[in-house]
Amino acid sequence: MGLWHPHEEMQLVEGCKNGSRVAQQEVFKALYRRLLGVCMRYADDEDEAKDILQNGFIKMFKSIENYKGDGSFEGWIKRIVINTAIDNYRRKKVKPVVVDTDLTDRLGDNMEDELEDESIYEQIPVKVVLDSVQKLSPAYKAVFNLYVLEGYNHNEIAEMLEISVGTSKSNLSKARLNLRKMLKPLVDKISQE
Amino acid sequence: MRKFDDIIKNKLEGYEAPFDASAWSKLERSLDTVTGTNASGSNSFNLHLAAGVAATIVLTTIFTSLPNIEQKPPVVEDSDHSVPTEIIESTASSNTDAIEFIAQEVHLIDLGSAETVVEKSASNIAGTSENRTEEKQSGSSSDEAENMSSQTPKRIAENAQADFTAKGIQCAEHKVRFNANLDQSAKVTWMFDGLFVKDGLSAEHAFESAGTHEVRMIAEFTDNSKVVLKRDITIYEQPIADFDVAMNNSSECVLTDVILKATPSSNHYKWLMDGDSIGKGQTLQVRLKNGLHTVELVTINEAGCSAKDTYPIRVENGSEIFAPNAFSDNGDGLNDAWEVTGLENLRSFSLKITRVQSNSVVFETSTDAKWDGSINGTSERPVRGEQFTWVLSGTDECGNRIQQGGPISYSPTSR
Repeated sequence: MGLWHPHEEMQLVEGCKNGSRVAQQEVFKALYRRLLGVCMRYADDEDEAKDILQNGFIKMFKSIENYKGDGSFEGWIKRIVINTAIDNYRRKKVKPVVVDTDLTDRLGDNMEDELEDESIYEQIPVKVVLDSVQKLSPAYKAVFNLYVLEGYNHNEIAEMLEISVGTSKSNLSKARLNLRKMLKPLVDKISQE
Repeated sequence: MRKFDDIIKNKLEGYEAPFDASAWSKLERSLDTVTGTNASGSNSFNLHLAAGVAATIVLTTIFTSLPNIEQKPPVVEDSDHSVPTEIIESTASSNTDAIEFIAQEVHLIDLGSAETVVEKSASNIAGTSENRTEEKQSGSSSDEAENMSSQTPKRIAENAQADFTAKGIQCAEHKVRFNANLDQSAKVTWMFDGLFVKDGLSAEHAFESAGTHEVRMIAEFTDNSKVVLKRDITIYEQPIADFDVAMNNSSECVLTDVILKATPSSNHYKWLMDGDSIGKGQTLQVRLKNGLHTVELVTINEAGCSAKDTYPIRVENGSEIFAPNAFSDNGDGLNDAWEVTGLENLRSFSLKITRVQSNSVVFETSTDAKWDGSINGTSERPVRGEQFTWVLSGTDECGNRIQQGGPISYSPTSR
């Protein structure tokens, strides 16, 4: 069951297609918090996330004629917002990150040793996890979100981000390692308690 | 990794960020601009529109002309840095060597002509889209508008002085700061290209592309009357700074040939190595000794927009000349004499050690790599903590001229 009753959703879509501010506001209010949560994963901070979301809503309302009712309305909007976040990433013209591969490898080895403690991550507050994801480099963050959260495969991600499949895999691996590294102090603290 | 991924996914998937009460009004204003209408909801939602009256007076003022390149403030070029001792030769070759564009600094930006709209909103519920209608009229010749003006008391917006300035770097992706100049208290909202909305007496915005962009300042006064001021800002293209590095190594060479090549364009190029300026031009050849070096390329285009690309390069294959920066002659077998290593890779060399305090040469050789600390071969010894400098000049097996040097500290421990 979606956010709205099917009949209500149909009315909202029609209202948005007719340019009704009330319908648009209803959609906006219903989805704002959830979609801002999505944008925050792709952005460096809340301000950037709000800009992404605003542009996403504008794109969505401008192209609502294209929504034909195939699939959920909410899912369609979310895809537009994620595409807007990807456009935002592309515009950033991210320079290649120089990685100390030795350090990454060593970190990776250590982290592999600690796999049995993974359930500890469940005790970490969501805001801490979100802050850590935001701190990932834009390239790592984009791949991590698309693979882990949105469920795209590496071929699809490579095409979306205009990178090679190998880079996508490598960035995912480094994103995980960096995320673990950022969360490690808290994981250690929780382990000791 | 699957479990880790799942945990992160479960945490973030349902995350809802706090609601921002001002978000809808910002979006609504953008939608008004994008669609060019103030949607009133003539649909199944059966909205009742409250009557609102708005009169608009469009005033056009010609401000200063668009900026040109010559108007940009001058920028002081990097002063000449001393070339690091590792770099013994640099050659620049480019047809843009003679062109030296100057990078913009933060400056007061000339804005395009202004269009001011004074909106005398008479409705005490102005601001809610469902209840507001806008009636735009250009000029003041409308009888209807004049009648309305004579019937209603003057609103603050009619007498208010409103303008804004822009300060920053006029290049894409650089932040420009806009400051409102108002003689009345007002809530100020900024709109950039009708998409990005920010509140406050000043706001920063980075335009993503070159071209003419519209900036709108909306000042809403305490009686709900408004002044909307539109001005254009010209933003110039941001150049690309990108370069390739090629190395030509030989294990017999002390120095490694490194060729730096920028992506061709009509820009001006400046190169820095480890923070020091090393040359200009699209391509540059330097010779580096072993180690990690940081190369930086700065490109500047005709409009004074500049970009930077920094990249570390590691030179490993050349043979290395090394000398310690301290020695002690206390007989412990450790640094008892000061010695340069790697001289076997030089065809010829000249080594000179100078006493810092007196600026006098205390040791000079073209055959020996070792100095025992004696002053000019006499029995005189340095005093504890005394400082010296060494300079080595020579030619390696590849014919490279070498010049290298550094400090030496005499720091004996107790015998």
